[in-house]
Parts: sequence; structure tokens; C-alpha cells
Amino acid sequence: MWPVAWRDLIASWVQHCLEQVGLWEKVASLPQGMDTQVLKIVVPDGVVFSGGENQKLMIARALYRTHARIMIMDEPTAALDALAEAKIYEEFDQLLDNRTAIFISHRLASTRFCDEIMLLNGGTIAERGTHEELMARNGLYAEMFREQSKYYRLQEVGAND
Amino acid sequence: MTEGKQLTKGQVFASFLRLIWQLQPMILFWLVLGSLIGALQVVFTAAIPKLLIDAYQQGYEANRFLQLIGAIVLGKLILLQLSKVHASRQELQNVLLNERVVLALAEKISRIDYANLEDPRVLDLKERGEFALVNYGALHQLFDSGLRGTTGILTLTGVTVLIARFSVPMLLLISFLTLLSTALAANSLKRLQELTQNLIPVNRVYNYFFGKTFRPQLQKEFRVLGMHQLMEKRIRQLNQETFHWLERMRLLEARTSSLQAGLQYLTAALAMAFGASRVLGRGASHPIGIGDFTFYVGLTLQFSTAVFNAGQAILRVAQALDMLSPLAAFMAISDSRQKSGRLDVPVFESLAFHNVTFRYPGSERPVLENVSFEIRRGEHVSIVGLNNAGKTTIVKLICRFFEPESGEILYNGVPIATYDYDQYMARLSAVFQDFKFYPFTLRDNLDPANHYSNEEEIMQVLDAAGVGEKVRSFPGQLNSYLDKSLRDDAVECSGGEMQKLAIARAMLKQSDLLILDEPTAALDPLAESEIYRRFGTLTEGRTAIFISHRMSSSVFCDRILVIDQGRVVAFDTHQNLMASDNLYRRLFLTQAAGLLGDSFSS
Repeated sequence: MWPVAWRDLIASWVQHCLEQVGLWEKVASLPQGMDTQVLKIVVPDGVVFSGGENQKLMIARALYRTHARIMIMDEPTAALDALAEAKIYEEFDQLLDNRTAIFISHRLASTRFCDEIMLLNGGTIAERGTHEELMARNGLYAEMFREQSKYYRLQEVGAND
Repeated sequence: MTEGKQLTKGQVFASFLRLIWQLQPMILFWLVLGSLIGALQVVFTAAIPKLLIDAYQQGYEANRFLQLIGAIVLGKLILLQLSKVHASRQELQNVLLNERVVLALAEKISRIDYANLEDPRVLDLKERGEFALVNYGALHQLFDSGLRGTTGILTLTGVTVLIARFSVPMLLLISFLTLLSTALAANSLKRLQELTQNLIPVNRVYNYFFGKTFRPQLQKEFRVLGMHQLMEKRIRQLNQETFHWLERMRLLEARTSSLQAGLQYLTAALAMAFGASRVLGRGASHPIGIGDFTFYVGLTLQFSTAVFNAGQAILRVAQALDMLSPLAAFMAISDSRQKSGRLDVPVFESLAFHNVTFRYPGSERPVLENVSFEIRRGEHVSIVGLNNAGKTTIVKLICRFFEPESGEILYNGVPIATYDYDQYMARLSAVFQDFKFYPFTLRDNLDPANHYSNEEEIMQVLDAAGVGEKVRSFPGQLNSYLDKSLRDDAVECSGGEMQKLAIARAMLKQSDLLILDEPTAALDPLAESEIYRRFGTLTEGRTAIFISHRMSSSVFCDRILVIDQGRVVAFDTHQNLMASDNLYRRLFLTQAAGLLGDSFSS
């Protein structure tokens, strides 16, 4: 039957999107799976997600729109722990599936898998290029990158001792 | 917990009567006065034709007749004026009471344990209570219908006495017919109420969704992701459900009132026939005049109307009490006992969790299980873990928002609940993940207790937090207003600047223990690094607890508490934790590799 097949197809696509952001395990563990109501305010046995889970859900929702070919992500990993964030970053190309993406973040690790970086300062584009190009330029981007990685680098020295 | 219990109508009624007696007893006086005026109006209006016809039959001279008409008009006018004055007074009293109850609700919220405010069942009571009070006007309905009910009962009493003087058998006859009509109404009222019960939850959900659609914060997702389609669909569906129940209710009402109208006409016909037989003097001991005839027939009609009105009003009162039931249940939540601690709070020496287990109200899984650790004076501790590990919960427990299910939290070796609440809070300061600023001046926001007389001292802390320069650039400096929602001349700050202000506010409160929950999440790398650099100076001489997903922040903490699924897995220095494989090392290396490339983690 076509409608049932259609429903299954959608369900498997929803599952795929949730798997990609690492939320499927949690959703599958809910009594009603992906048909569980979100929030308790309307349905008393609804599920209340944590900040990190909500953020994963929001990314999954954006991914679900497969026909949308431009994806804008504004600080999408701010509430995620390091492992969940790294998972999103590592699978970013696969997540995007050839979509054009605009990524806004204070976490500069996210720039490594972007084709081009645009640094805004005081409302103008101050620098533009790849991570390597901007690092070579030794401008504001390079300064920001050095500042953010400084504490990890210190550790590199310490770990080698 | 006794919170969230269903109350009976009697309990709801009693609790509101008590509340009204405390808040505004005058409203009851106006209610009684209003029903007296209403009842008097009914009887007086029914008596007018009698007075005129009697006067005519007795052959009054034109002069006296005019005097009588004048007196009637005057009486009618006085009653009308009285009822108008009363209506405006009653309305004023209703509005005033409504506002006072809203205020009592707000005060109650501030008096109950914080834990209640994160309990979905309690929040639901509050939401429904607030809806009944503010959107639905249930208290207005209670008083409007209460007034109509008491007016009906008073009218009924008066009319019964008057008809009994005329003829007891007639009173019995119309009583019987009215009783029949009332039984009919009672039956349909019962069914009507059952139908209303179906409608109440639909209404509540409808109002939730309909209210949400206007939120400016949601418009972004409505436009780009099409979330409004879901809302529209749901609102349409709820509309249809509402129509479905309303249609059944209206049909039932229509059927009942047409039957009742039939009975009323029958009563009138019988009253007229009975009256007419008395006028014509057949069978009765003494005939009556046309005036009396008109009067009694009128009274008979008023009798059934009054019974009908009183019945309907009682139903509406019951409905209002149903609506107000969650509010009564919320108001019945006991006041916080947390403030019962009396012990003076000494200078901070240590804070210890001892086998603490905790789960959120209404949740099965414990967030923290057997958590034990100790933080000593002057230490800077970082709490690290995956999402949902229970980090923020530890903060909430330290802040006495919740009480542990088992185990103890000790401040200088003494359970925190035994300390004086206000003194304990004075030892604490915090930047919460969801910090807020309010539409007051910057200075009021930063120093709400007005602790600093010298603005320079405040500016020093702002400088240390890296936002001093920005504040100096405002024309009003510290006296600038925040938040444009109330003032057009309010200053604008970026998310990062707000976060620095939040850090400064926490610093300005001279506390022993400082809690920073994700204080750099909104900061750009330079600002974040600046805060890290200044962290030592900012927290100098204080004990600090730091929570962050940015692992670099734990490098400069003395010790790191690693939490995994609600359990403490390690509590050690950065150096020691990096020496062996554990959750902390994995988290740190993952983030470092993201920044510095894969070569680093190998």
C-alpha cells in the first residue's frame, strides 16, 4: 500500500537524520519513539530534551529538509560537549550532502572543514580565504585562532614532557 | 509531595472564600446589596400594572392618578440608578479582586520551594490557574454568576411569599410545573457540564498554541523552516474540536430551553385560567380585582424565570470553580520550609557532597548517583562531563534550589539546609547559563543591593571583565538603561558584552564561593581568552566552580571534577588526568585535535 510505504519512507528518513546528529539512540529509547510529543505542557507524558539534545534536534530538523540546498547554522554546537561537537564536525560533509552551508561559530575548529572563511569586523569583511591563507596572512583571524588554541598547545608541550 | 492534588468544588469554593475574605471582604457586601436591588426591581416591575389598574378601577382623579404615575416613575428611576451605581461598583470590585488574586499568585510563587517551579505538574497548575484568571476571567464569571444566582434566589423568596398570600394551591401548582422544568434543566445541565469537561482541555491547548504564534522569537523558524504549518494545522484541528463540542452543547441548550419555554407557557396559561376564575368569582370564596390578576400572573412568570436564572447561575458558578480549581491547588502548595534554617553562616572553608543522589521531580532516572567530592577554600574547580552528565544539577543543589534525595551537602562540615537561608545566599554568587538582565539602569542591574557607593569600584570590576571601555562609551555610562523593550534610549550590547556584564555582576557580589556555568559560551575567541587570562585576578581569594564545554578552560583550574552519567569518575589535576586514558583526556584531545589537526591526538 502506497501511503504506508510513504510513511515508512519518511520514518526512515527521520531516523537517518536523527542518527546523523547522534540523537537516534535517545529517541528510540522513548516509549513512543519518534512519535513522542515534545514538551510536557500540552501532553503530560511528553519528553523534555536537555539543551544539548535540543541542539542536536534542531540540526536534525534542518537536515530533514533535503530539498533545501542552502543551510545556515548559527552557533549550532554551542551547547554540545566536545565529543558530540566533534561527531558533528567529522561528519559535516556527509551531513550536508553537497548543500551550500553558511556556518557561524565562535569555535574556530569549525572553520577547518569549511571551504572559505569570512571574518567580519565592525560590520565589514576584514579577511576572506581558506584557513591556511588566513593563517599565512597573520591578521585578526590568525590572532583569534592562536588565542583559542593556546591552552591546548600549552598542553601539547606538557604532554610531551 | 501533596502538590498537584485534585480539589473538590467544595474545597475550591472554601479556599476562594477564605482568600477573598483576606483580600477584599467588601466585595461580598456589594454582592448582597446587588442581589437585593435586583430582586426589588423584579417585584416592583411586576406590581406596576396592578397599581395602575387598581387606581383606575377605584376612579382616581386625574391629579391623584398623575401623582401615582410620578411616584412609580420615581421609584423605577431610583431603582435603576441604584442598580447602575451598583453595577459600576461591582465591576470595580471585580477588577480589583482579580488584580489582587494575580498579586497573591505572584507572591505565592516567590514563597514556595524553587523545586516546584521546575516540576511540570506544578507549572501546569500555575499555567492553567493563570489562564483561568487572566485570559478566561473565571473570577469575574464567579461573581457575575454568583450575583445572578443570589438575585434569583432572593427574587424567588419574595415572589413565593406574595403568591402564597394569593393562593396556596396555585403556588403548589406552579411549584410543581417549575420543579418539572428544573428537573429537566438539571438533567441537561449535568450533560452540559460533562461536555464542558471535554472542552476545557481543548481550550487550554488552543490558547497555548494560539498564544505562541504571536511570539516574535518564533517568527524566524516560522519563516525559514515552515514551523507555522504545524501550528496552523493544530489550531485548525482544535478549532474544529471546539466547534464539535460547542455544537453539541448549543443543541442541548436549545432543546432544553424550548421544552422549558413550553412549560413556562403552560404555567402562564394555568395561572391565567386560575386567576380568571377568581376574577369571575366562580367557586372561590372572594373574587379578586383585575389589578391583582395582572400582578399575580406577572409574579408567576417571574417565579419560573427566577428558578431558571438561579439554576443557570449555579451551573456557571460550578463551571468557574472548575476553571479555578488548578489555581486553588497551586495556592495550596505549602510555603517553602527551606528558610527555616537558623544557623549563622561562617566564612567559607569547605563544601562537600557526601553520597548525594538526586532526581528531578516527575523523572525516573536519577541525575546524580552517590556523588561525593570536597572543595576547599581558595580552590578553583572545573566540572567537566558530557551533555546531561549532571553538571548544572550540582550547581542547583549548591544553590539550595533543590534538596538531595539522599546524602548530604556540607558547608564547613554542616548540612547546608541548617544554615540561615539569606546568610547562605550572601556567601554565594553565580553566572547561570541563562542569565538575564532587566530594563533597569546598568548600575542597578550590576549592583541590585546598592552595595557600592563608589562608581569607580564598579568600573574597576567592569574593566577586569573586559567591558569597561564599552560602558564608558555609553552617554549615560553606568546610568544607561538596558533593554530597548521599555525605553527607546536604552543601550545595545552584543551577546558577548552581555556575558561579560553577567560575569562582572557575579564578581561584584562579594561572595566566598563563585559559580560560573558556561560563562564564555557567547564570547568570541579573543574575548574568551581575555576572560581566561583574567580569571586568576577575577577570582582571586575566592573559591570558584567553573563549568564549560570548552576544555581549555579547565587548564588553569586547580582540580577537575569529571562527571559521567551522574557519577563522579575522577577528581584530579589536569596534569594527572592527562597522564592516563579517561573521559577527560578524550574530551580534551578531541577538542584540541579539532583546532590543531589530527596529528595532535595521535
